[in-house]
Amino acid sequence: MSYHKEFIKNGERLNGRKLSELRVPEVDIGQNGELTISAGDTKIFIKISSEISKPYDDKPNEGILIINNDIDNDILSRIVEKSIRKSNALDLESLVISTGKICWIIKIDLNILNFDGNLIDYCILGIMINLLLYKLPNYDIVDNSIKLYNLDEKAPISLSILHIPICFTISFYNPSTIEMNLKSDEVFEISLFDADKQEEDLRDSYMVITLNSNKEIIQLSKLGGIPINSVEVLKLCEICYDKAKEMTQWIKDVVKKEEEKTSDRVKMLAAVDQR
Amino acid sequence: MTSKIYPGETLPLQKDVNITLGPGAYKNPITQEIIPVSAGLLHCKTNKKQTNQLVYVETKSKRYIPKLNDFVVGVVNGTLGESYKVSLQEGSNNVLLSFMGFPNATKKNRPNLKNGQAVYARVSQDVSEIDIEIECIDPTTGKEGGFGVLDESGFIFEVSLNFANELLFNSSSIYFEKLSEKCKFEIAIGLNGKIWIKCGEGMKYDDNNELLPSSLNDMKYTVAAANYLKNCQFISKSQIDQSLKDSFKHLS
Repeated sequence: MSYHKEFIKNGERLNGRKLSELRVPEVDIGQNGELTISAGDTKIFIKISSEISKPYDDKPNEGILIINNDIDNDILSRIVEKSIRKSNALDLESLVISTGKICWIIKIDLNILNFDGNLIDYCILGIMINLLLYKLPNYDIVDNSIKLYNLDEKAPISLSILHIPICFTISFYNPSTIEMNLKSDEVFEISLFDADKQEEDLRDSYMVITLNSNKEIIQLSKLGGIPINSVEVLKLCEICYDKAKEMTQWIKDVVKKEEEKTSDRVKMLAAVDQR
Repeated sequence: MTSKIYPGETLPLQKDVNITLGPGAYKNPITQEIIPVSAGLLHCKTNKKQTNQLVYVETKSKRYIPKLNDFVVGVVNGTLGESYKVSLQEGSNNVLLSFMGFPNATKKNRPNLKNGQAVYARVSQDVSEIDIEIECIDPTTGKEGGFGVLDESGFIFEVSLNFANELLFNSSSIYFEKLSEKCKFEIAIGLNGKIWIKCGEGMKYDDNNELLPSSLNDMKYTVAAANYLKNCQFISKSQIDQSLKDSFKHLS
């Protein structure tokens, strides 16, 4: 037995957080779609870029969204894919400029700079904040060709985000032996939110839930590990929903603050122009 | 004396003294020239008799490269022939701890270590082209000398390499003095950035494998002490008192 397990059994964690307490992420927003999100020692750099291209032949009225990550992790990329692309968080149809001919490609590059647990949650959180802040240059179609405008010529366009998926990873710990857990209905697994690196190493199983503030579950995956009571899973979904609402509000606050900052800058530039 | 230094700059070396190279200093085997190979704070210390000069560069690095006679905390990972495989740092190659690397060990009387157990040892062979070896014997006396198995009641945590260096070698550092005001503790500092610590009795079990009720408190003190030391890496000396208070504030 380790210090971690004994602490968790007693409802405490080594890092001083409560079992269901999340870390407060820090977001550092750069220019041109660059963003760094960090929580604890986990640090992810996310870059969004866009270019003009041709839509896929079988989907003529959809734009293209590509999510790359620099570590070769199937679970991470699959869950991010499910949560963001398949849930239609980004309205791909709004990326089409001319059906079947021209559309925007949005590329999201994830660079994992440091790992201290819970990559999936913070990747999705960072991507969503970045997508909400990202601006495409404004354009016009002149004589069958596209004319792009600079930021100061014409106000850029925001992406159309249909909903904000929020992801939670819940780690499970078995307080007794595996046999007890299989046979008995009285042994309950201890669930823990936002595990750090050491807690992730020790966990017996985990579940990833993505949901949004409309109480829609986008994906739920639990890949192996100890069995979990279904009532317990429903309870956890309920807790996640409450947390998702808070998180959505937090994201909106971050985005609003940043947009105020940029609009201040635009105003200042305009004032300089007038002089 | 400390100053900033970058790779390739000239070191302020004295003439006609023995020079001891520490981390960050490198001697070109062909030209015999000594140059710094990492950027950081340069430490140059000369002893009182002006016969020996110590040169090293303090950098904030994470990766540990074993050097001869370094004290390390390792975790047993498995066995390989006549030795244990010991991990000094996650993601690095395992090093070897021979069954004979313990005091009083013979072919028949071999130590019994399980996977996951921690040992405090000395690097006895650091040629990186072959397997690096560690041993739990003090080479001068041939006895235990403080090395050996670290029991499971303690807690292992990680700090940066330069901080471990500071804790182990800087006798004038005040971190432990302050900590001793709060609790009594036993500690083993590895230069690989792993530190083993135990306050009071640490994590103790009774015969039925149940946690002793008194030991939860000791465990909390141990973790608080570990958190305090981890925090000390990032603060200035004036903030140490506050950090100590914060780490222990939830304990009576």
